[in-house]
Amino acid sequence: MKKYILSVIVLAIACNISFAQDEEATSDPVYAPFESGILIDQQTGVIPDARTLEFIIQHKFGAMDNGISDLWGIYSPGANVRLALNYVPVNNLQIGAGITKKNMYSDVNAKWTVFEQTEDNSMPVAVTLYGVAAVDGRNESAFGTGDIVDTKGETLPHSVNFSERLSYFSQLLIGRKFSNWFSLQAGASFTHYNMVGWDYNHDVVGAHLGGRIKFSPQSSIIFNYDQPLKIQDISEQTDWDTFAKANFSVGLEIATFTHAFQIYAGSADGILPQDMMMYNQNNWSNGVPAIGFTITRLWMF
Amino acid sequence: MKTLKTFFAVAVVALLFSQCKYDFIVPEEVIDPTDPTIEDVSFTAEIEPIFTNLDCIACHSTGATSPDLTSQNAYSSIVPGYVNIDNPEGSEIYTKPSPTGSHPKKYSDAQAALLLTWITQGAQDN
Repeated sequence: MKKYILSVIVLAIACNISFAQDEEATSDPVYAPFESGILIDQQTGVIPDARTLEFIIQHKFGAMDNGISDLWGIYSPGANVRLALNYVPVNNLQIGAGITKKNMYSDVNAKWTVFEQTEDNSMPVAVTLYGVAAVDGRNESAFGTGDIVDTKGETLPHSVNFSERLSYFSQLLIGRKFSNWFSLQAGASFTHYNMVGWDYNHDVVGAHLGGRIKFSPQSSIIFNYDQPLKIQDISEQTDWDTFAKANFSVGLEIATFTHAFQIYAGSADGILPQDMMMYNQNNWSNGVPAIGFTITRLWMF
Repeated sequence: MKTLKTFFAVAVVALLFSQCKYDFIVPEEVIDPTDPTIEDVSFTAEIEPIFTNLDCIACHSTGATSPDLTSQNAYSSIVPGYVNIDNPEGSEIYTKPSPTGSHPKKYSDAQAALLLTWITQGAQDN
């Protein structure tokens, strides 16, 4: 009897898949190339429908390098958290704001899906632009001497003002849903900090890769890889000692229509993309990835 | 569509007012801990503020994670347990938050040198 029930279920699923393939392709956008607008540390081309409000909690525990003594970072003091709200005023455009514990960042961001991938492949990929501007809100004593020197200017004592605290991140993402179970995206980014330490660069160009392997209607394995590129022509330093290391995260996503829950292990302790591209010194080879999770909640009005 | 236009208008105006700067933070002077002519480092005036400015006391406070680095208790909780006068560079208060370590809070090079100088000079309560 059990075998009979099982074979009926298998047959039903098989028929369902074959029927689904018979559906005529239209020029409508493909359904859910990713489950949510966030892919661990990256964005995706997914933007909810117009007049949707999204609340996001992103949390990373401390590094796992102390092992069981601090339960792989869960009891460690080096945790980071970001709380954010996104709103979609018109289809394919999202604006948002957030606050992050590390460096007391406050950020505003915008995402525009310029082209959506269509079912009939008249547009084979989704093209997305994403930008973040953040303010480092720490007390002046956190910036060492607090004295500032412009590349060509004179030293200005205690001059950490609003504009010095600003940092920017802009990114172009190209993604494609290859099948119901596999989506991939690649991107290029530019990061700029208005003020950095003596041995850092102001500008960083990065390359990005991310993907999703869906193994059940609600669950997927997700990953992202962010590589800051060592470009001598834009570097202001003679060595790469302080240059950020690549960020690699892999995790599990459980998503429903209005929620996404992602739990992962990743290298960067920062949550804002510009912080990762500028300051991430953790990687998997020196054994200090951290456990993190992301929760999103959508409200449609 | 109108909303989209308004958004881009606001974005363009915002970009005009924001500016890209190329400022560096002038580094602190790093003292040489082996220099015998250097003046005595004051614990209350120079070492204690490091723990406060770095926000070590967010975790290392009274009743929380040891050592207690709040200003009234810092000296008695790190001397002698976390300070090794015979081998200053082996002192835990110096090695744990080293600039290249993985402790959540790290000294800058200048702060590390100042602390090492204070220990080399005998870790006085001055």
